[in-house]
Amino acid sequence: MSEPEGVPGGASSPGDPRAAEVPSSASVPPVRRSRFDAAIDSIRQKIALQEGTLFLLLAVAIGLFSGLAVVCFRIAIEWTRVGLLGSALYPRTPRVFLVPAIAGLVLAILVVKFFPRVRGSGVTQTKSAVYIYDGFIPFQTVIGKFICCALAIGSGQSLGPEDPSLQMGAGIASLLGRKLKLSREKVRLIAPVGAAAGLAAAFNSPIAAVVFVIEEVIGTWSAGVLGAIVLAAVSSVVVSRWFLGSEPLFRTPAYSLVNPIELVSYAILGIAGGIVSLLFAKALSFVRPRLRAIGGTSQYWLPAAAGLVIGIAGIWIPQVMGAGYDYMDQAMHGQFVWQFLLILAIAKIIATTLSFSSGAPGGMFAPTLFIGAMLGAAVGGAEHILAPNSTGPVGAYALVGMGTLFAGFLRVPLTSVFMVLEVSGNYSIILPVIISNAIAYLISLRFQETPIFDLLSRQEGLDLPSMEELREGQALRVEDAMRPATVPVLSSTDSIAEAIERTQSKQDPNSPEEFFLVRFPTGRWAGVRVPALHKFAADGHAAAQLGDLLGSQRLPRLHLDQPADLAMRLMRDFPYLPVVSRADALRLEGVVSLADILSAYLRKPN
Amino acid sequence: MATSITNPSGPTPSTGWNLSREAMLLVTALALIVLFVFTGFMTRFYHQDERSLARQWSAKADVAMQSGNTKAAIEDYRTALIYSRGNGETSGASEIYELHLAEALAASNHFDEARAYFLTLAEREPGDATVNLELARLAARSGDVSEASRYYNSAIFGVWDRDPAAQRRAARIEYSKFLLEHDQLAEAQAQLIALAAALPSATRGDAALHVQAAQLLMESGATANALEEFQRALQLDRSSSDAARGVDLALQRLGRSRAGNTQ
Repeated sequence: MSEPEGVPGGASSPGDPRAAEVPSSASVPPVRRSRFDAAIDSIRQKIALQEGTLFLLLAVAIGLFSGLAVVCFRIAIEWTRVGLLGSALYPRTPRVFLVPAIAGLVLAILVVKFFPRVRGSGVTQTKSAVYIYDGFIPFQTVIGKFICCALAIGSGQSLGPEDPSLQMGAGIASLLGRKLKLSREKVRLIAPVGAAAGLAAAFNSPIAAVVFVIEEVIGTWSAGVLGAIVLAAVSSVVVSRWFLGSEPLFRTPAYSLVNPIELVSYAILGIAGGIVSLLFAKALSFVRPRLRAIGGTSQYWLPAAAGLVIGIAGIWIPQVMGAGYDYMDQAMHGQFVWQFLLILAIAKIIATTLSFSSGAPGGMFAPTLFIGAMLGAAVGGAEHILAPNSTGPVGAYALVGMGTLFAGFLRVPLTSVFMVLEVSGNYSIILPVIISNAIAYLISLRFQETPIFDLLSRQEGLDLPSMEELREGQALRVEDAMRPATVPVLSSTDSIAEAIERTQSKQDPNSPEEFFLVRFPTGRWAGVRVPALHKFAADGHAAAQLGDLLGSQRLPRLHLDQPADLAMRLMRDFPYLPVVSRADALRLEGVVSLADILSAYLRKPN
Repeated sequence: MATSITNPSGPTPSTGWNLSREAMLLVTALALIVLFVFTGFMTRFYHQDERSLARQWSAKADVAMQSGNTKAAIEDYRTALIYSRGNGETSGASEIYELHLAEALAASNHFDEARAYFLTLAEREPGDATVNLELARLAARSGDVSEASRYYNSAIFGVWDRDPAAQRRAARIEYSKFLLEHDQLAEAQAQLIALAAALPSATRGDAALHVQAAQLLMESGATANALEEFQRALQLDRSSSDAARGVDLALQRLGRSRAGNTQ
């Protein structure tokens, strides 16, 4: 991936939009400093926070801001919905098809004229901020997301509020990081902190949000940022619960696994979830590029057209409109028959594909949960008909189904498990969740090569790093490059004369420097070259012990499971390094040289 | 450079003040306070709105329920329930709407869904006698004697909001009738003896309760206990013809006469 001009590592170019944000000390004219200024500076220095501390403090502030923003966002969505569609559970007929279409038109004007960056996935945009734009997210995007997504979701477009919440959090974090003049590295890291805060407040589940950001945005469990992410997520959830209460998103029914044979049903749900995830991903990958390719004035009428289709569908199945949390709750309580639940799942796939592909801003988390809940409840309902004695409630299947789609469609297996646990507050459900999610994930992995977030970013012309490739990719290890030690290993207790004798006829053909390993009884390893041995002997130390003459010299030792790139970093000018057992540091498993590692990289298929 | 269609020109800088870090921290803290207050007001209005909508829809549902339109009542209770969630109301309105919804569902033969709502309520308030009684009725309807017994017992010993003694008595009578219907005579006798022991004997009006208990005891085969209850009813109300007939019937079954018995 090529970097934009003036981005990481280099000085910003004159055309770089971020240049104006970077304070330039060189451009500050010299000022005569008074004693007062000196005193102020002295006080400032005393109270000045170190950047690490400031980063953590800022994480809390980001969490609080994001929590407040998400609370306002949720209220805005609800007021918009009640204002436009009315307060009834099922909107009345004239409104149901008129409102999404008219709102779609307004939405298109807002997006095209004022907030062009609010389209697309917030996750992708946050990742692009991290990997391309040094953590820069314009605050205009936050405002745009707030207004446009509230209008889109409130008017019935089949989209969810979590993804925009995530991006709003990231945008707030980016603004604070820039305004507080954090270093470039910290500003880049701060967007994921805000993303976790936004998502945590939207889902009311801090653990799932933290895991999601680690799993999908950052890709690694970096200690440097984990603390800040956790702090931000917890702060935002505290704020959200403070204002909106601590009730979970759903009223999950009581569940306990009575008969382990029921796990078979959950495995079937996993298979169904995997297939439906594929269907959803294929639909998006087929429809979105085609709608985007229409060009011309399509960006003005596509959201309205999508709204019209959803509105017409809403006359018969109003459940597909909006985020759909209320209907998920009803599905959990067995309101619908399994055939209707299947229809709802398929209708939601179509509605969400249309809404998202039309350019209407909003996220896919809630629709994914909706499809999963309906599918799960359908499988549960069918199971109750086929096996009337089964004890698992339909609600449990709906709950597991949500996680299954998360694992299969969004390809975030860990997040899916934690999310269901947090939403249900019931540990008994963990076995069904793990079984079902793992199956759906594996099916999706096998038949959908590109994960959905990577697919969306590629559709937008961005080549962002794939977190799944990062997770699943096999790193080259020391054991892949290692070879057996063919030369004798000297002991630190050997005399110089003995060492010379042992090395004379046994030299490693790969070691032109005639380098030999020296083993100390303490587990320490060192190395010595033949010319050095001869020099010791010439200096009259032929009877002296090798260990005494080597002093504190220490050779880095490696283990079989360590990554090959670590071996390369430790290699420095040593011809090769010892690979020793983790259980016994005296036991030499083999040796590895730079040439061994390079040839292993050439051998390894990627 | 890879360009984004959604982000064609790349990010643009935000223009703003160039304050020192300390000043910016202060501004951040102030902004936080302002936003906190603003959100507080917004949330307050939002909760008021939601509470008001919940009450409106619940009232509408009550009317529909009273007029026998359970379908409309269910939809309206569902709507009330949506607006009652997390709106800061501490009076347990949400649980009441949920209970009403479950009752309406049960009344319109949506037993599975009603059961799911009752179970959710029972999980939240395991000691709630009303919920347990409804669950017992659903289990009784499906013929599950052990589950019905469990819920009836939870209802009898649970927490009742109003007139707990009378409610417990009614629940025990209902349970006893259920047991008699399912030929669980020994358990029914045990329940009825416990019921009889707890019956009030203060006024003439209490005689009817003793007669009812005695009739059920007769049905369960505990004729001697039934006789005692009929006689207690007669002591409370000498004019009770049901009690008099019950005494005669019990004596007849026991092979005794009223005169002999009184001697």
